[in-house]
Amino acid sequence: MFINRINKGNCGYFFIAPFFIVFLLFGLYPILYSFYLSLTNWDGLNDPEFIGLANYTRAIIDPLFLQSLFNTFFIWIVSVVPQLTVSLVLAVILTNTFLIGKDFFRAVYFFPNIVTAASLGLLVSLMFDWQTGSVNQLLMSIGFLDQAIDWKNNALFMQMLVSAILFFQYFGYSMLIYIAGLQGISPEYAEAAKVDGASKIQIFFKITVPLLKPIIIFQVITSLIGGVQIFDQPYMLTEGSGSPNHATLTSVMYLYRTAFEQGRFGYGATIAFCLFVVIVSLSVISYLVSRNRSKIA
Amino acid sequence: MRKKVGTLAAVLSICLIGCSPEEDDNEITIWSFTDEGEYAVAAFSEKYPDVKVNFQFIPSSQYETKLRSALSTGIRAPDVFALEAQYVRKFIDHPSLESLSEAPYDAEALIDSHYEYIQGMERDSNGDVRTVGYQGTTGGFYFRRDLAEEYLGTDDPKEVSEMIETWDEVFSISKRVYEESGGTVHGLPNWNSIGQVQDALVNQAWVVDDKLIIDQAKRDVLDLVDQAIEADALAMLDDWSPGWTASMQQGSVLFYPGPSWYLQYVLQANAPDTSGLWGLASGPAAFSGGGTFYSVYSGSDNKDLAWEFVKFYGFDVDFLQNLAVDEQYYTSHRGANEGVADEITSDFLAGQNYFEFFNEESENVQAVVRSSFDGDINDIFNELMDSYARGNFHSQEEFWQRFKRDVQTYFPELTIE
Repeated sequence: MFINRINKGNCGYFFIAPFFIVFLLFGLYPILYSFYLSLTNWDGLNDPEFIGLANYTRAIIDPLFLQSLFNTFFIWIVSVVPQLTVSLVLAVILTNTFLIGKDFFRAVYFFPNIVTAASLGLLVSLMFDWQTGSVNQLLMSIGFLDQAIDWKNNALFMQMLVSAILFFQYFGYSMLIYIAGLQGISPEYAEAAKVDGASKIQIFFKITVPLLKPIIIFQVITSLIGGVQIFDQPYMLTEGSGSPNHATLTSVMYLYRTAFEQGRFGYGATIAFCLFVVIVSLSVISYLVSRNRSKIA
Repeated sequence: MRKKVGTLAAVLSICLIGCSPEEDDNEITIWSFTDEGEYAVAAFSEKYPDVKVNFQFIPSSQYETKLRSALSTGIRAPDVFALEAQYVRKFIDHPSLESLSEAPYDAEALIDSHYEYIQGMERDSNGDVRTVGYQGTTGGFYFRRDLAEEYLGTDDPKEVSEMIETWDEVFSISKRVYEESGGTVHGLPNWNSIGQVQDALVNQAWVVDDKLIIDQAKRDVLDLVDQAIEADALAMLDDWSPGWTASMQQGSVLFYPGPSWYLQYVLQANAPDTSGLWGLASGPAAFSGGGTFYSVYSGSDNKDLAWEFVKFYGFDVDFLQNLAVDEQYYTSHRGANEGVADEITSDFLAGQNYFEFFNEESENVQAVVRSSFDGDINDIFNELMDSYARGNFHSQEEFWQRFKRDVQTYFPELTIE
């Protein structure tokens, strides 16, 4: 009966057409063309030479690509675990009805997200310059260090530094998403539990966290997609080199170097597609793992 | 409905056609990754008032990609485009670069006026002229006169040049300066001071017949860096880092090997308060660094005008002499540089006639034929050398293994032994 009342004229197609036209031209076509390029050897000047799956067989044994994947995930994991934990705790605190100045703190914690990643990378790079950087100057002035430390020559430290920048930049954003999620949970559950004698910690782990599970999955998947694309921060921090010893060379930096610095667009497209496959696989795994756990719960 | 869509499409098409710029016969478009060309465009427009020049400055980060796309498709490609020394070899053999050797251009006769090392960059793999340089990028050892006076007993560039004719002498002076200054003054800013000089001494490109060649001059870099570290010669300041620029102002480094453009774009820009405190001497070998070249697009409708501009920029002696005097710009043209050498001195270099210095030095810079791989392989080498100088390799053998692995990874088509 409802369907009978819908106007089934063709005008609707006209109104939805712009999206599809733009998507086909600027979304789907470049994706398909990139896939074609990934099967070629192309320097951007001469005609692409079709080489089949040779780029893919090269990628799976390419030590730099594999190292860049490892770097990317290491940096991501070191950043995302504290990021999601701290932001959840902050979100719970800042949704407390009786807390004074919570709007102020919400804004303050969100501020780092407004600053561009490149600016943050450059700022930290200047701070950790071993001869003129403020960090060494400060540590030496308070007598903590006798001589300046060459921070940028320590692979693990540099990876942790990139993770720290990512944490600093995104914990406020994650916090806001959690706050939105927390505000969607009816206070009645907590009140009922309280009446039954549950402690605040029990309420948090037994009620709040399970009910927030869809939000947590969303956060993990979106941060995974963002994490695999880490580029600006390590690029600015190391002036594009991924130093020391490729420790901060992320996959997208490797893609950029291969395609845009060396003009190897075919292999660059292959790396992009490999990353696409990695992101889709991990997203599916994250989804399946969380869904199975929900069933068990 | 169909009629309306058709009308809309027609209006859009007309708008798009109307919006696309059409060049007329007296108009050329020039692309460059540096705004330096604006001076030449202004001078060219003065000489050829009927010609309209569209000069488009495209930031370096986007330039190469944009140029590749324009040259490969021919869509809105410029009539003239700049190429940087780092990647000129990647483009030089491509048919989109007009060959300028033969008539009507006859650049073959003109480029004899350029220094030999510039000519090496201007020719493609078959020896045809495909690009023209305007900038002489000859190098020298810039030094702080106050430090030289204090530690070497003289600030005279000729005497200083005689003291640093070999690397051993450079390192021995550096060691003495380091010790006498109580560790506050170093001889050189970093390993690249050695690397860039050695790069001019190679006899072969990195790649010959698809095979990686490690030239002895490159192998020597590691030994020299070891020696330099032993002598505490290196201040370990990364090029373009804040510490590096601050050292110029502070006077914590004695020598800064650098090309001609180092004077205005590095020293004057970063240490303006040190005017008069600098001198320029000749180091263990003549070298050059960087450079900008201009080519004519072979698909251009205005190749004659495009060539007029390139010819003007690379060979017009009056213009080049004005460029030298007005902008303190050392050019690629022997005659232009010699014509103004007497009148050009630099207050920043305490009145030193640096054109005379470069004129002599330029004749000694070795012309090296590079391969299209050289820029990228140099990047790999330099990155690993940064790490080597910081003590991250246990041996030279380990360095070369890593170098070969990285080159093979980036360029699997090369044969590496």
